[in-house]
Amino acid sequence: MNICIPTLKEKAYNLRKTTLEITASAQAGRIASSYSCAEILTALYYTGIMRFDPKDPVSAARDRFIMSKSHASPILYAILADCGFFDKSELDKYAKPDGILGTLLDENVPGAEILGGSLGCGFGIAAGMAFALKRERSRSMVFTLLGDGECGEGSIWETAMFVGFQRLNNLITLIDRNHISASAFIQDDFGNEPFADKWRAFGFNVVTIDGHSFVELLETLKDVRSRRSASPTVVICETVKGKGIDFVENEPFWHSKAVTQDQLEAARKSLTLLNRGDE
Amino acid sequence: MNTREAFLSELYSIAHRDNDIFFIATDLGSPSLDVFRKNLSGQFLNVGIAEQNAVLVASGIALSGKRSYVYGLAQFLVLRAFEQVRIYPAGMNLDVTLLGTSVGVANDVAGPTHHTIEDIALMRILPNMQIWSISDEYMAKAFARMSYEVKGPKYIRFDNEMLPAVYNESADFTQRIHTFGEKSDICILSCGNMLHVALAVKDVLNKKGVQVCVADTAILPLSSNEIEELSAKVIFTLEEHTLPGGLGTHVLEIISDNNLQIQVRRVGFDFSKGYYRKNGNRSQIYRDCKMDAMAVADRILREMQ
Repeated sequence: MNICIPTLKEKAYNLRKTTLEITASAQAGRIASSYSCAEILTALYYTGIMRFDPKDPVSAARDRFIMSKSHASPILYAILADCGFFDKSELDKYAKPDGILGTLLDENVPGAEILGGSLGCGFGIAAGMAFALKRERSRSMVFTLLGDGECGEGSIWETAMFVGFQRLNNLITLIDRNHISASAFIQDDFGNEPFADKWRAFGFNVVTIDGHSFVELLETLKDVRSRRSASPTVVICETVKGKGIDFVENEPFWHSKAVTQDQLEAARKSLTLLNRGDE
Repeated sequence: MNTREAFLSELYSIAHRDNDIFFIATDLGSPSLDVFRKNLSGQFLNVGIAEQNAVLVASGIALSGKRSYVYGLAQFLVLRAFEQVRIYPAGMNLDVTLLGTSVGVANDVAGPTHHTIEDIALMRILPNMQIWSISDEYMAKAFARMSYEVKGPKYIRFDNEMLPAVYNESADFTQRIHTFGEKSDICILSCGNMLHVALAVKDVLNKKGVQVCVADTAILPLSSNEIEELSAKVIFTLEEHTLPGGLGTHVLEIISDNNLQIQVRRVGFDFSKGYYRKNGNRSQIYRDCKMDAMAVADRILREMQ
């Protein structure tokens, strides 16, 4: 893979910028949940890791992406529009009655695959797809993105047990581990530790990485198609909720918010290219 | 023949011809399933006691262009996995068929956790969802074939008991409603196991010189045409279900919405003060809740005086 990390960083920066503008304009949508997964989604959509054709979004040969934490749909819309799944003018109509894009996912959005919003469900759908693809010996992979707050849902663990037992190694589960749920830091109020051990116990090959580092994301995802292991993989991506705007970062208060018009200029100024030490 | 066996053996033949059919069990077996599991192992899956995951996996399979059947105790498919059913099979209009066993109080002495008495209320409020209640083996076989032909989500209700045959192979099971006896001022509506109670009520009343018609509401929802065509002045609904939300409520809504001049009397469970907590068998429960044939016949005679 010949991928230029500075280009990916710029892409993630632009996606955050689009997300900021559309959510601020509509005063709707979760910016903090979107920002923590900006690099994860950029790595999936802009490096060739995930295979898809925006002109044929339901092609049988496509890899499936299931946005289980569909609360971060605004940034996915920015990506789908940028990749050409639908016209960019739809972004201006985000969360407006004449547009196709709601704050949460809808299967009628090209590239969206499912109706989203109820946490704990997308993972099971992804598992069903991976099961069906495996039975027909398809080469397509299924990628799904969960939130760590979402992992409080019991159905996640029903599905985890299923995926582990069925050895669905064509399913790549990514977890945006931003440590904040809707109202609080997870470990302060209800806890999910030991998080990685839980996944290991369910039969997963667990990789924990910095979810804002393209070097680590690419290193982890580059050979998902050729891996010989029978175990399914979960990539726990350590992230910061709201990453990119200083006053939004790590503030539980921001979970369900868009930036107000008064804060917009400050947010634009705060948003800069993210640099990790090793890149 | 047991209706569940009749359905599953027919479905097995269909799945034999079409390997895009997937069967997802939730830790529930049956003799016909043993054959399915053995001979069509690539299309069979037991996910264990995990109904939410079962419905999600079935939906993911359906989204991959296949047809999936989820099999389990009706109570847990409908209630435990209700939200998953609501969003995916119903909300996204997927080819997922839910096969729910032990409807009503078929699991009699097991008590309230195993009594499926809210399923019609819950499933009939979902978009796209059809509710098919099986009342004999001919219907079971036909419904297996229809479940393969009819697109969209379906919830098929199975009783545990051997239900006597009331149809034959030439019956048109695509009709939502089937009548027994001449049309009359009084019509008893019921489905599944309760159809057989309704037919017993009809016998009791006929012997007393009172003519009633019985209708099997095999496929819900009904439309106003189907209610009007009964030409009844009084409809008694008889259901092994809570009074709020069930078949009786459905009929009342149709009558009210369409301004039909038909009276309705509902027979079913009134659990407003609590669930049925005695260890009664099914006939005892019917007697205690005034749903046995004699009690229903008496009520009809009383009300029609």
